[in-house]
Amino acid sequence: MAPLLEVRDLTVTFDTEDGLVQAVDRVSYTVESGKALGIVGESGSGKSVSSLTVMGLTRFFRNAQISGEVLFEGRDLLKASDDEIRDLRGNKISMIFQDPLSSLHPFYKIGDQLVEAIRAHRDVSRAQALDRSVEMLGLVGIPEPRRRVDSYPHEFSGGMRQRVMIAMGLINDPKLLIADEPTTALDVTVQAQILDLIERLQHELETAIVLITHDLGVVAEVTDEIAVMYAGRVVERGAKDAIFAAPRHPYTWGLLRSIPRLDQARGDELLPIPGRPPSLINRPHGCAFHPRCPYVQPDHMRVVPSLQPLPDDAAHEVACLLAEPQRVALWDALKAGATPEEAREQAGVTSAGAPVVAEGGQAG
Amino acid sequence: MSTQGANGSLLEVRDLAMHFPLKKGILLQRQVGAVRAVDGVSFDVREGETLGLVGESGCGKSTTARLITRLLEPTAGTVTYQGRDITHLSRRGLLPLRREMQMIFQDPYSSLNPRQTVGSVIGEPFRIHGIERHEARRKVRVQELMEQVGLNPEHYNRLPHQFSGGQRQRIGVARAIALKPKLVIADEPVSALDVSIQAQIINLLRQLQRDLGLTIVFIAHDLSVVRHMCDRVAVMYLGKIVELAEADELFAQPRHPYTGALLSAVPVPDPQLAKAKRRQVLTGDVPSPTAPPPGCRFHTRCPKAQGRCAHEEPQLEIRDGGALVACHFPLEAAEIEETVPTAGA
Repeated sequence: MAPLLEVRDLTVTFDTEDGLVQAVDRVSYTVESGKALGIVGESGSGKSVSSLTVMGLTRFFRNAQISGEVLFEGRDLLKASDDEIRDLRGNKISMIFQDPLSSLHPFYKIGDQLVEAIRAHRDVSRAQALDRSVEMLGLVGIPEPRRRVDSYPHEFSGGMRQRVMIAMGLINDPKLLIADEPTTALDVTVQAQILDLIERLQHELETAIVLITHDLGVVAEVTDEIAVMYAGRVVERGAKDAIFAAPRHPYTWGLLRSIPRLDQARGDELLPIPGRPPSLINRPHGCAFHPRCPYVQPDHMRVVPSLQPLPDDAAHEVACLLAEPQRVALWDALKAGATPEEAREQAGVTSAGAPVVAEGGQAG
Repeated sequence: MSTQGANGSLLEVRDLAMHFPLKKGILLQRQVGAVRAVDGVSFDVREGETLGLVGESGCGKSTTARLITRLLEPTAGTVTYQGRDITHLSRRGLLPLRREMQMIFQDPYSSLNPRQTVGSVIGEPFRIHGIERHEARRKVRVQELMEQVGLNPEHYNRLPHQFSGGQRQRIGVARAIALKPKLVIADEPVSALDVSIQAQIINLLRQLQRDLGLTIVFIAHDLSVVRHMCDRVAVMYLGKIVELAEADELFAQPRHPYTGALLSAVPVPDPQLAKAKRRQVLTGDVPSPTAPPPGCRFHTRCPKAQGRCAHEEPQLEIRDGGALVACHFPLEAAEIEETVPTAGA
C-alpha cells in the first residue's frame, strides 16, 4: 500500500536581502496511515518550514522557491491549485501550533470558531456543527463542554487552549495531523496530559501524526519513526527503537549525550556539541555538521553525504561519510561513557585536527 | 571573617510572602483581592551550594528570586543575608549588597540593551559601583571576563545582535560575575536556548561555581537540568514549598505526591523505559493564586487526597532521611517505583 504522505526531495529556499536561505534541502520522508513520525531538530534545522510547505502555507511567500514532491494519497500537493489545497487544509490534513493563544481568535467564542472549522468543509447546519463541537471538546477532555463552547479563548488556561486547538485540528476527522511543538509552551504536568491525549486519539481515530519537536523525550514517548534534521537536511531516519538503541549519526549522538537525563545516573560533566548551528545562508561545504563534528575527516569538508540505508537494517538511514564499522565502534565507546576523544582513539578514527569551532562557542 | 548566619547559611528566608494587590476602579481604587504569589516560604541557602527552586508557571519561584535579591519588597516575612536583616533596606542601603548578589535572566534577547556594546554591558557594574574608574583598566578587566566565559575578547565593541543566543547568555553571565559576587540567582538561564547550547551554559555555570566559590540559587522548570545542577532542591506549588531535600534524595525518593507527579511527567528519551513506566497524569490545572484552595493547596489535583487534606494545611516537617515535606499522606516506595524514572537510582 502506498504511504499516506510521501515527501520526496523537498527543497525550499527563500531569497532574502542577506542572501539565499536554504531552509529545506532535499528532504524525504514518508508517513504511513495511523502512524506517528517525529521530526527532531534545533531552531533553524528546517523542521517547521518543511511541514508548513506540506500544508501549502509557504506557497504564498513571493520569495520562496519550492521544488520536489509532496504526495498525499498519491496526489502531488505542490502542483495542486490554491482551491484544492484550501479544500484539504483543516479537513484531511490539519495542523496545530506551539502557541495556542495566538492561533485562536480572541474575539470569537470557542464554539463559533469550531463551528466555522466544520462548516468550511461540511454542508451541515449550525446546530449540527455545534453538537459536533461539543462532542469534540468532550473528547479532548474539556469539562462541561456544552457550557464551555460559549467561552472566549482568554477564559481558558494554556493547557485547555491547546486542547481546543487539538479539538479543532481533529474536528473533520483528518487523515494527517501535523503538530509543531505542541507542548513546548506548556508546563510538564500539562505536557503529560496533552501527550497522553495525542497518543489516545491517534489510536482511537487512527490519525497519522507528524510531531515536530526539539525534545527527544517527547518523541521517545509518542512516535513510531524519527527523522533527525540538521541545517535543512535529514541526517538520520529510522524506527524509533533503532534510533535510540543504535543511533548512527554524530549529531544524534551529540543530542543524546548533551542533555542531562532523569533515567541515568547523575554525571559530572555534560558533553555539549561544540559551536552552534550554522547559518542557512552560508552553510558549511560538504557535510553541514563537519565544523562541529569530533570525527571529521578531510573529505567530509567537500563531499555532501546522502541518506544511505545501513547494511543490517535497510529501514534505518544515515547521511554520514564515516564507514559503518567506524560508526558502530564510535557509538559503542560513547555508550560506555567515553568522551569523543577517547571514542576516536578506541575506534581507530584518526583526528583531522580539532573541529573548527565557531568563536566563542567552545564547550564550557 | 565571620560573615555567615547561624548554621552556616549565607541567606535565610523566613515566612516570606508577596501578595500583589488586585485593584478595581479608575480614580478611587480599592483593593478587591490579592494574587498570593508567594505565601509563607522558609528556606536557607548554604554557602557554596546550588539550591534549586522548581515548580510550574505561577508557583512563585521567580517572585521568590526577586524577593531575595530585594528587587521586590515582601509583604511579610524576613530575608537575612549573612546574619543581617535586609528585608526592608532602602535603595541606598541595598547598593553595597548588590555587589554580592547578582541575577542571570532567562531571555538573553531582552535582558541586554540592543544599543550598548558588549564591553559596556559587562563593564556597567564597575561604573555603577565606582570600581576601575580608569577606562583602560576597565577594558582589561572586561576582556578578562569575556575570556573567562568563553567569549572572544576582540568582540569588545560588538552589539548584542551580532551574537547568538548562547553567546548572549554568556554575556549575561559575564556581567553577573563581574563584581565577584557571593550569590548568583539564575532564573531559567538555559530554557530559551537550543538543546546543544544548553549543555555549554550549564557546564560554564558549574565551572565558574568551582572557580569562584559561588553560591547559586537555580530556578528552572526542567527537572533533569535541576537534578544535574543542584545540591538541594525545593519544590514549589502555588506559592508554598511542598518539599525540600538533597537532590539525590528527592529524585530517588520523592515524598510529596506533587513531586512524584512532576517527575513522572518528564518524558524520558528511552523508548523501552517509556513503555515500562506508567505516566502518572494529574487532572485539571493549577488553581488561581488569588483564591488558593483551603487546606493543602494540592488536594484538588492530588491522587492521594483524603477528607483531612481539604481543611487541614500540612506543615513542612522533617521526615526520615532528612527531607522536609508538607503532606499528610506522603508517597510509599511502591508508588514511586511504578511511575518515577529516577526511583531508587
